[in-house]
Amino acid sequence: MSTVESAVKETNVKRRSQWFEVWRRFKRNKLALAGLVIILLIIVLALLAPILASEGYDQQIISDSLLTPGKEGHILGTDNLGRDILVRLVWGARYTLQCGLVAVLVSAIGGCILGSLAGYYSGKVDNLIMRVMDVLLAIPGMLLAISIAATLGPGMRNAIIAVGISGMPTFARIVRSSVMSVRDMEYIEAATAINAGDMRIILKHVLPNVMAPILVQTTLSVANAIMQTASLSFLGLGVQAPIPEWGAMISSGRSYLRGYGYMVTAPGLAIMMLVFSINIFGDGLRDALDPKLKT
Amino acid sequence: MENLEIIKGGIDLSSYIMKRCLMVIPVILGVILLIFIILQASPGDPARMILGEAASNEQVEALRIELGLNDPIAVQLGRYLLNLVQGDFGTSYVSKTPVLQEVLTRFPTTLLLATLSVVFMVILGIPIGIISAVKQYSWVDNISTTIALIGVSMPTFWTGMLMVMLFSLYLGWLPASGFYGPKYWLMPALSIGIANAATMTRLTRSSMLEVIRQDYIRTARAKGQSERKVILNHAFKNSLLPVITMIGIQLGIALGGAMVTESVFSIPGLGSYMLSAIKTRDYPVIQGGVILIATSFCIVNLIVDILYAFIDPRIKAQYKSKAKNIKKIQIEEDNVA
Repeated sequence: MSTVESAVKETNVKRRSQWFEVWRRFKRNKLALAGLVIILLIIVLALLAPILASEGYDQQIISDSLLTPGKEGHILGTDNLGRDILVRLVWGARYTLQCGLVAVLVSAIGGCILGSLAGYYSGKVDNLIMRVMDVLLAIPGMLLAISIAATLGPGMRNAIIAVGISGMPTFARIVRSSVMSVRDMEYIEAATAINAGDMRIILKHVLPNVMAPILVQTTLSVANAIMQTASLSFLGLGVQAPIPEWGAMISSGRSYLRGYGYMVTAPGLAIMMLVFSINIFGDGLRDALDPKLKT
Repeated sequence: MENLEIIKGGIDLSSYIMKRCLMVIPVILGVILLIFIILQASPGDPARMILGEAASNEQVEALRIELGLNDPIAVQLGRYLLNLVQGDFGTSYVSKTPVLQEVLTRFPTTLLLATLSVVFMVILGIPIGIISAVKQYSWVDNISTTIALIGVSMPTFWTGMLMVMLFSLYLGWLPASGFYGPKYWLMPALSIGIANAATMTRLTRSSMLEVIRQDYIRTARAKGQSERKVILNHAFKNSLLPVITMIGIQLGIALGGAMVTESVFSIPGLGSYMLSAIKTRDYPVIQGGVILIATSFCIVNLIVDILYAFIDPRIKAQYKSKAKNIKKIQIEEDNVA
């Protein structure tokens, strides 16, 4: 009994220490840590938007329109409709993050399903799936996202779907090659030997063991997805007014470049800061998860 | 002995190139099919878009029949493919001119923009990447790595707008829109180039770092070669492969992202033409544009792949040894059987 208990304890300790080790390695990278802190700050801002900016993102005070930053208590000024830009930025964090995260969720889930099927079964299934992915990869990502968004029509949900689908092939490729690298390992053979079903093997044995590259790709993809949705919104194919997604905010400030450039500068800086933080966080995560992946 | 023969009889380079060329065809066919399906699935009636809200239902129906929009999808696809083979990309719903002609007159502008952006990327990205690899962990490296990361994090359309604000509106040095000469080309190409240069810097740096610790670099130094030669001739040349791939990929990305940049600077290229086609649901134009861009992307990738085989003797050797291994496995399998 006691030996069993101690064995259980031991495995628990080992389990914790693995993630502890990752965290320890990650912590050493001060830049990546700073990235994580900024991301968390932006998430907190987004969550607290209803409290911090209770007036809502579309409160128009026409008499206050086009106030330059600092005037009359508007730290970042107001836009052409008299809306406070800082308030809109705080609300916009919600929509921008949502776009990035959900789009990547779409790509990651789709890519994981397709990639693990292709990698695990190989042969005909692999051939079919990967040839379709080749076709998707033959169209530059932004163009594919634009085409899909144009078909589905403008709107936040459609932009998310478009960006999500265009990111799927990259995921499928990464998952496939990772799955292929573990497919012939002994523990998979062992799982097959105890008569585990394919589904169970893929979900319980294969995917957890290829999590590192998927996790890194997910993080870095969020940055990319945020940029792509912002571009779609800028072209008028993504998030529509008055929703203050940061790309849409840049787009709406476009006609006021002369004299009121701050309308464009502020949301652009916000995107840059968020994407920069995600990138350094992702780089740090990659180095911490698997030093071998370090480029 | 047996292996030697297999190497001689193995797949050689020319058939590799041939095979690689043939592989492009199904991909492009796939692209055509995909775009066709995507556009078929989109809501909105092109006939209604052409005639406007004022037209009667009978007129719309007549036009639908005239355009063949009532035929089954398979028939429409077959007809489209048949016409494509004959070089006919259809007629624009809006301007009533042949799509191929419209698209081809605008494509050079977009291609020029994409190429210039790649030139900027190479000029800015590679030297900085080399320097920061040679002086790894120095302040030069830290600063350039950070700048590169910031560069990757800026949306290109935003960079473009900042440039317009600074150089056109504030300083008045460069024109804010149009594409009529080198003065006009500078900002659009730079705005894409900066973002890509950042990617290039990162890639060159990591690729150089991999090479720079190799024994042959130490050998080159040991035989008394100048540091400049060691870095440029021995290290950089060997780290060139990923860099070349990146040039190809970025050219494709620049072509695909042209819509965004062309929209910022009102450049009359393929991108802005396609964007207006999207707004008016001018299907043949969208199809033609996407197919053209995807095809050029495929061709660029093809050229990169073929260049690879010529530049790197290791790949040639690898290809042969792969052929050898396949043969070997086959022989073993045959023996078992």
